[in-house]
Amino acid sequence: MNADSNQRWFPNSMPAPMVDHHTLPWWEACAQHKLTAQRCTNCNHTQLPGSPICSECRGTDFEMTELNGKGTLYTYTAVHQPLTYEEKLPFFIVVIELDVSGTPCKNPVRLMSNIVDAEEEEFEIGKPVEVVWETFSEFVSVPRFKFVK
Amino acid sequence: MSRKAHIVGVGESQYTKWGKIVDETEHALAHKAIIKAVTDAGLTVDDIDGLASFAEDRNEAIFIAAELGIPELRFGNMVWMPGGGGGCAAVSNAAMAVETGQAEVVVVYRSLCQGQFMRFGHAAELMVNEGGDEAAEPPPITFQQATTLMLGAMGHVMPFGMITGAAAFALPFRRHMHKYGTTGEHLGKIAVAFRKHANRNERAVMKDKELTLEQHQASRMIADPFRLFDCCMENDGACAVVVTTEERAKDLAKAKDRRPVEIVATVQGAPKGYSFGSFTNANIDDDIYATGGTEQMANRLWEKSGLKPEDVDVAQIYDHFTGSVLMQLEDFGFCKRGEGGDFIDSGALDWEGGSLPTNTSGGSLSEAYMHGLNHVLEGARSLWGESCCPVDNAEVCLVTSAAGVPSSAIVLQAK
Repeated sequence: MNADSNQRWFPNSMPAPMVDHHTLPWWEACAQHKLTAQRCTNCNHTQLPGSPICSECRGTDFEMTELNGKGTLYTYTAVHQPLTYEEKLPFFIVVIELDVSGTPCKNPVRLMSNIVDAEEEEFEIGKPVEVVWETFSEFVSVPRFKFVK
Repeated sequence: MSRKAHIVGVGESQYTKWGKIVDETEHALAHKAIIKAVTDAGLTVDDIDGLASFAEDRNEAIFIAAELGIPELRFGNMVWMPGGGGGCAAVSNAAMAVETGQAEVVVVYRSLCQGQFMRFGHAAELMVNEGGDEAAEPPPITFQQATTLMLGAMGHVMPFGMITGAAAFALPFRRHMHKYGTTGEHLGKIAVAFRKHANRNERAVMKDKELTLEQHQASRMIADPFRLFDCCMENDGACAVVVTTEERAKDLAKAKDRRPVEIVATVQGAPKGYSFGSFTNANIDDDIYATGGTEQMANRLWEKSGLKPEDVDVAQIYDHFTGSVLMQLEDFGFCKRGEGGDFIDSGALDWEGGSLPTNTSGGSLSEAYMHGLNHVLEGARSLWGESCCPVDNAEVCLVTSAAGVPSSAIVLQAK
């Protein structure tokens, strides 16, 4: 969804995704710049990160449902303490409530991520956001979010 | 006579800034604290037959027992709760062991030499990729197989820079501020109250350092809204607590001219779907996101103990971050949800004149960061009248472990 798919906000030294069998499909979709959530095909309960079992009906069949990439800011923090010593400070860790409208997903689902290209004064819980993609390699892209102007 | 579990002795090594203890190993420090605690109880190492600890302990009971020459280890146990969430649960396990007759004298211990190993606040450095943008050819980030469930959970959030406790616990507290109008000044008052207590405590790392609200408000931001003085210290040191049966406790207390301190009730746990709390879980139920996640557990504690928040004379509340103290005060029913800020403003936590003197030795913010086991030591001392900030006629003390992650708590009562 970025106009410029080579745009970068964080250094290569950021920690890499660490995955297992159940979280891999989400990151594989990210590599295609598709924001998804794991939906139980039995009861439509939706969860992130991916799990081997639905925590509502204990079903074990899932689909990665593509979402529209929109959401709202649920909470945030401005981190002033260096992590990799190469990133711009402060950086913003946020929780986004993802919009599941137009999908069979039964419940909204939240994702931890970052807001980029924003100043601290712009932060307000409930503000609309949309996904942007930061591509690290052919296999790894990480979803970040921007405030909708 | 009853086997009801009691605390009969406490002890600690010197507490220092992290990295200051370099000439002693972590397990040697553990021995020191254990020996001091059993001596304080009027017992010897030969009386110990159980050892209990909690998550991430490098000093396994089997080796501690062997090195100390414990005659026969009958109970060795570690709680499956993350970090500081399990301190009270380790005491709870010790209590279960003595009450069910699996052991007679169980010592709960914690030893930390963060300079010799890794600072908990700097776990990130292990995960950061070498090379970086300064390198000629930065290595592409690649998938790594998560070898444990904890690494899998962390591996999902670390690419967003979620590594430190400060950021993890700032997220729910920011929401608390949004919902209830709580402020950074409320947090500052918590830090200042505990520092005043530490200034009276010879053992406290911050004994000689005063802290004003102005200094707190001017301190650098770590993870907004948490400033430097909202975050617990990182320290080297060790501490230990001795748990045994009522029968033994009565004789031991008499010899020390102490009132026996009973472990009235214990709880541990987590709400549905909580996993590692706000550290890894963005999907905590909205009703409990802006809390310490310990309300259900607190309700069970009051029910089991037959006591109420109003019965508590003194409290030792886990303080990895000031905001977590405020939310736990609400969880445990000392004030209504959202009124933690007003409760703090009333001066409730102060030893002098407060309605609920809290962290009377300075806590993790100002005494020492021993993953909250030092809070249990102070809980017993506060009922023995041996605290640096003694509360007159204190009979009931609440001790809690880390909130915002799966947690535990105990109620102590002087009999």
